Amino acid sequence: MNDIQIPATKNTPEIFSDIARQQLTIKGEAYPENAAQFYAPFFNWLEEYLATGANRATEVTIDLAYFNSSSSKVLLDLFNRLAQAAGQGHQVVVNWRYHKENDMILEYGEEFAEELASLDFRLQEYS
Amino acid sequence: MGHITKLEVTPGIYWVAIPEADLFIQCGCPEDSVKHLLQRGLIMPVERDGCQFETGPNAILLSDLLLQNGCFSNLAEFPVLQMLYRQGMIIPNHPNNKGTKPLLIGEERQINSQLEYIYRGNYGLISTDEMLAAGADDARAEMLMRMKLRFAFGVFRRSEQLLDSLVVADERVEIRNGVFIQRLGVNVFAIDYQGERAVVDLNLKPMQTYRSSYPLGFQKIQREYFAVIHSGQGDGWDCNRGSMSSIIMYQGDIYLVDAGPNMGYALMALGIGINEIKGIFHTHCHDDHFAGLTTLVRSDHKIKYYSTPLVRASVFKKLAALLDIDEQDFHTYFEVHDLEMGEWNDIDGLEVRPLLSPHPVETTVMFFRTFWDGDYLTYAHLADIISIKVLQGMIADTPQGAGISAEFFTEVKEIYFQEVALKKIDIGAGMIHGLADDFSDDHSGRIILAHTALPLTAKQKEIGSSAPFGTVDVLIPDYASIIRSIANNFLSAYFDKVPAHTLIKLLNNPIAEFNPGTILMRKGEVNKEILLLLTGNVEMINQEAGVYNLLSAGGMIGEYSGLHGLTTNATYRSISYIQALVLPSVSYARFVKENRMYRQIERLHENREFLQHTWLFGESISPTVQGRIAERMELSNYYHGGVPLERIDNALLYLVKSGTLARTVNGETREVLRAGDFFGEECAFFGEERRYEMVVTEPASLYEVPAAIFKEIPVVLWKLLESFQRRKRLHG
Repeated sequence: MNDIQIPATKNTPEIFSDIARQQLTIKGEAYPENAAQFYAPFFNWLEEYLATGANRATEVTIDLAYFNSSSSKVLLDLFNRLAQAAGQGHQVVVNWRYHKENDMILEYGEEFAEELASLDFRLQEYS
Repeated sequence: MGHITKLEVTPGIYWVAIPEADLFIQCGCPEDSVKHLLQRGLIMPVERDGCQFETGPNAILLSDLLLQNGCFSNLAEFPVLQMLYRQGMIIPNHPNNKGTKPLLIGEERQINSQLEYIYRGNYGLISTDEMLAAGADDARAEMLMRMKLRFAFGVFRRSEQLLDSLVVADERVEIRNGVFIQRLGVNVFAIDYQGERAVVDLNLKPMQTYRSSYPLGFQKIQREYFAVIHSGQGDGWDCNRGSMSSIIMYQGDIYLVDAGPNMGYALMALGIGINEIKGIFHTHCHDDHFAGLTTLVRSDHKIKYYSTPLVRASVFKKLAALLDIDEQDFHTYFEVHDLEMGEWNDIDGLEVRPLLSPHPVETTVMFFRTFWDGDYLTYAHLADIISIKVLQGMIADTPQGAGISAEFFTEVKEIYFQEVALKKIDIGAGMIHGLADDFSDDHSGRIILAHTALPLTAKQKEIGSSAPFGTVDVLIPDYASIIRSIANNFLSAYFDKVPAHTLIKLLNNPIAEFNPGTILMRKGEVNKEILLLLTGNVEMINQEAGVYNLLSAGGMIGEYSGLHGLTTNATYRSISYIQALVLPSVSYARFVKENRMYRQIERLHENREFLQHTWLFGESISPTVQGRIAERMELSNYYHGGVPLERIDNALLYLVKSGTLARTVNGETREVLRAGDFFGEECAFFGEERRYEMVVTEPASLYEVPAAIFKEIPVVLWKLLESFQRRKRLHG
């Protein structure tokens, strides 16, 4: 299967994978008008990715400076899917990156980490 | 050719005349349709064989839809009365009585609904049993029935005895004399005669409303302690003025006394937002006092409905017939409070005394008073009353005969002629209205003559005053800065956890007045001030995004953009005189942060913005109520197209945030839903079974909202009712 590569726009993040290294990254700002439509190709890709390799160790990096509440629901959908995959034998690590002055992103990360105890959820500060 | 004349009278009303076939069809009969025909000269006074009467239609084509854009689409009561009595079609030996009855044309359901509503409009409650059920005792029920039978010339006649009807189903049918009618679609009809065809479309466009037949100027109304705004001086036939009504201001609260046609337009002109109205006092159920109830439903809180149980019962029955709903559904839209007949009822300090007034339907006149400076100051609203001469003629010969007792005659006279500070009287004359002459010895402080379409005579001018639209009689002026109290109430409701001493930081800002039509904020500009709307109405426009919504008192303008220093995403424009508390954006942002509300506002912003941009929630929803809804919205994303929704919960209303869904029945698409649309109302609100599937056709996001939270928001329920009935009509 091919890597996914969705370039960033003003209100949507860049999404890209490196299958060889088993890495997936979402980076930028996320407040799309139509979240379901924007993320649909990504979720289709994800299903294929999870179906093609059993017991993979995947590193997912979320590096968002801002996202709206629709995107937070999308992230929750993503984490729930990853948690499900983890339950089926995949090894998943989520790196939640936040700028040290971005309290909102940190708070969201803490909430996700608490809610998704079955995922290996790592908060990573940068300056 | 040239057999058919068709003209658009006003949106929603057409006139189709085929003189050769003696057929003059009024197509569509929303509120005040008679006044529109009068204005266009389609109803005219004529004289034949020494008899004066009016011309006009002899048939009415009904709308297929009960409601359009929140307004009643079929109010045939006054058009039918005009045909029967003012044209003379039912009057014995009248030159215009040719043996044909007025004709109602339309869907069977609409015809039946109109026949029942007209019946109720003619007689109100029609048996002593109904009166007893409404709380009257035996003696009162007996007395009322005898009086009403006298008005009805001894018998209540079913509408079917007065009117003919023609059901238009799917087939082409003959109206009469070779004129045929066929439905081409919902509310679209073709009328054919001798190879000629006229097509009429009774559908209103989105956001379009039925128009008033008369213009009203904008009024700048100051809030007073106790005052009466004169909102209507005419009657149901006065094509230049609204029907008799008043608006009472008391300690900052606003109460209507009756709600006739074009009430929304009148309130707009007066700069009164729908959310400012606390209650309505209702005298009786005739359309010229009743048609405006739909305006009051378009509020984000239940407006209090005050009447005696007898009046309420007659109003419920009429409204239920009109809307094809259960009588008890009235409680869905209003907070109902019964008034005790003959007693002073305390309404948050305002005392109200309803008294029985002789009229063909259950009617009370109302006295309003409050104590001030050593005495009671009273306003008497006497609609509809009867002339003393006619009343005297109604005294029955025997205790059991149709009519009234001599004691009741004396009682009514005492009620009518009580001396008060301000009195508004019905001088419509004829068989069921009052006479100015009767009040020539009344020494009340000021008498206002109303309920007439005619100019006042010199004699009448000696008896009473006129009260043009928007004039105000102040009984007790405002010394307590009521407008500040209003601002305080809105802020306290919005920031309910913030202590009063902190809230005063916001309150201690200027209150500004704006003229109608003023741009308050322009799309794309950064607003340095946030406005809290205190009185009047503001429209929110984003033409590019197809957004047009209405903000009423309590609305916050430019809050999110002001808070973040962003540009506004809509233009805000006053549509009446307005007053607003002006909050500097920087101070507001500091206030919000200090009180730890920033995250909360941020979290709900997207939900709120979505609500503001929808038809269902965009009108008259204050920030407090909007916040309550936004708090309970749960978002679900559907990333795969072509998939049916697995489960639809009967207790939820579903709102489409983005994407596309199809409403399908047996695999056939009946409706395509897009952003701002909704589904699930038939189960969640109207107790119907779901007979369709929802299929996600393009990746979609849906908000799920518990239906229970809408049960106290009439404007949303009203729109849901309209949509439910429209969908049922369109899709089954």
